[in-house]
Amino acid sequence: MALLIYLGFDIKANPDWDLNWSLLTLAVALLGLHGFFLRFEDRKPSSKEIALLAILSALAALVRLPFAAIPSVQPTTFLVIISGFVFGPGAGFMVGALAALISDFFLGMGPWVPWQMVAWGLAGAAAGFLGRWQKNFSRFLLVLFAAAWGYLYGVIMNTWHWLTFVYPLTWQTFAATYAVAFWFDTFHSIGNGIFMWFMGRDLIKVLERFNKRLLVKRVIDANGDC
Amino acid sequence: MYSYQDKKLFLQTLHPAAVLAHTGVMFFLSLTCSHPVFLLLLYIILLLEVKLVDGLPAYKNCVLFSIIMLVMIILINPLFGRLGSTVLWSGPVLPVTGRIVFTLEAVLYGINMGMRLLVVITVFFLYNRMMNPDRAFSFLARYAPGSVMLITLATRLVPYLAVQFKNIKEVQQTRGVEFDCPGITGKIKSYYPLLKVLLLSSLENAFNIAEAIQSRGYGSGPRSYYTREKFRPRDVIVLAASGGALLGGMVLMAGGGAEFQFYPQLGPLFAAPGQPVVMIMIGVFLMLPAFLNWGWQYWPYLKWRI
Repeated sequence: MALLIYLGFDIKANPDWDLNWSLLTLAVALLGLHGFFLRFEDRKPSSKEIALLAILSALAALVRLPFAAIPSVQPTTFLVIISGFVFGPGAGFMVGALAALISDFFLGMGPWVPWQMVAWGLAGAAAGFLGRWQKNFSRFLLVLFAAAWGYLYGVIMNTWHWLTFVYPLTWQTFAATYAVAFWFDTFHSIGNGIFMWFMGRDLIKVLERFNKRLLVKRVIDANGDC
Repeated sequence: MYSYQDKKLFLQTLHPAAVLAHTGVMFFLSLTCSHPVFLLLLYIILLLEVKLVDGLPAYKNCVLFSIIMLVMIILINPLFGRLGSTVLWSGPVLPVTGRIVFTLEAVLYGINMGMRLLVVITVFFLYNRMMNPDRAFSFLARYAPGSVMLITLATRLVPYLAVQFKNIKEVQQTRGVEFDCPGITGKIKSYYPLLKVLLLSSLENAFNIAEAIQSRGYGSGPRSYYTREKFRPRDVIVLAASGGALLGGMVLMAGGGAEFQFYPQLGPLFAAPGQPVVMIMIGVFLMLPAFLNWGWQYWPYLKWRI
């Protein structure tokens, strides 16, 4: 964080530090995704876990497709958030990252794919941490969280765009890049809020029921018997 | 539904590793080398290959789709970049940004960055046209079986869920549910029960899928394979050529020839010694798949050999 603040203040004096920021950030994003998938592999996921994550991410990807015509209003972010909220940060990240990847198989791959994976993955993971902390949030707070992720998603995507295609890297150019996308982000945020308001708590209940059915707890007594 | 269409074209027969290497090197070079001549060279090669995979009509739509992004890049750079020294137009003073000054250097820089985006988009378009996602998955499954299993399963489920979605909608319509409500809120209210039913039925289905996976031996040992990819001489040539192009790119970067001096004023077109030669060499390496494509069509001997 301190490094980011330092970079933030110093960025004006050294427009690009002679670094290829686009490549550097892409490498960081890819490394992050790689590390996450590697962890998933090491854990040796069960067949139930795979089936559940596949269904959730396919659904999150599917709902992005019919809405693709209306800019930025789609229930994908909302579905990713509630999945993370119920099933935890790991599952949330996976559903978010996969929803981005899979929907792009149908909408067309582009340089934005790793960033969408990271942005939606982080939305799911953040919701997972929120759910771990406390489950009984008011409807208003959940709406606020979903709406905030509309803008946070925009910040991640705009930063990628800014670092890759704009020069010099100053606050003015960042503000301009952000201003162009501001309405898209606002639509996204409002859409998320509306989805969460109307469907949030109800669908969270549905998912929680399935979460309980998925969990198998084996209680072992002192003799080692089940 | 895939953006990939199998047309049995030469470039689509390449091994997934060769396709990944070829497009990956072009993507890497477009991000590391921003010399306008080099970007133009890359773009010409890419356009040729897009034509060879029968993708020009679809490519036009793809470019039209990204035109807003392109215009934005071309505009933002000269609007805020005040590093150039040749002032073309000096505009009014605005509250946040200060005086608007268009400099020749910033305009050209913006166009160059727009070109870079176009190249990057074209690389991805070419990849979408060359690589069958199923083959890419089975290739990657060797390294990450669990993740690839998850991705293939989820990808396969998308069309299935789309059919389910349509069925549920039809059932609800026959029961008198209206889906043509005006406004976003009305739409969400009418689609909400639909989404809930879909979520419930598909989650229920997840247990069946899990059983099916288990009964096919998932997790009981190393993954087995249905099909094996052939590794032909053409793949070796494309892999080697991609390696050569990457090496050329490194030489270009090390010699300082990967960049063009825009600021404070435009530098000479070729500043580094041997720069054009290295660029042409990279071009030749990257053109090899297109050359093989030509041979595959018109040179029976070459077709037999590769």
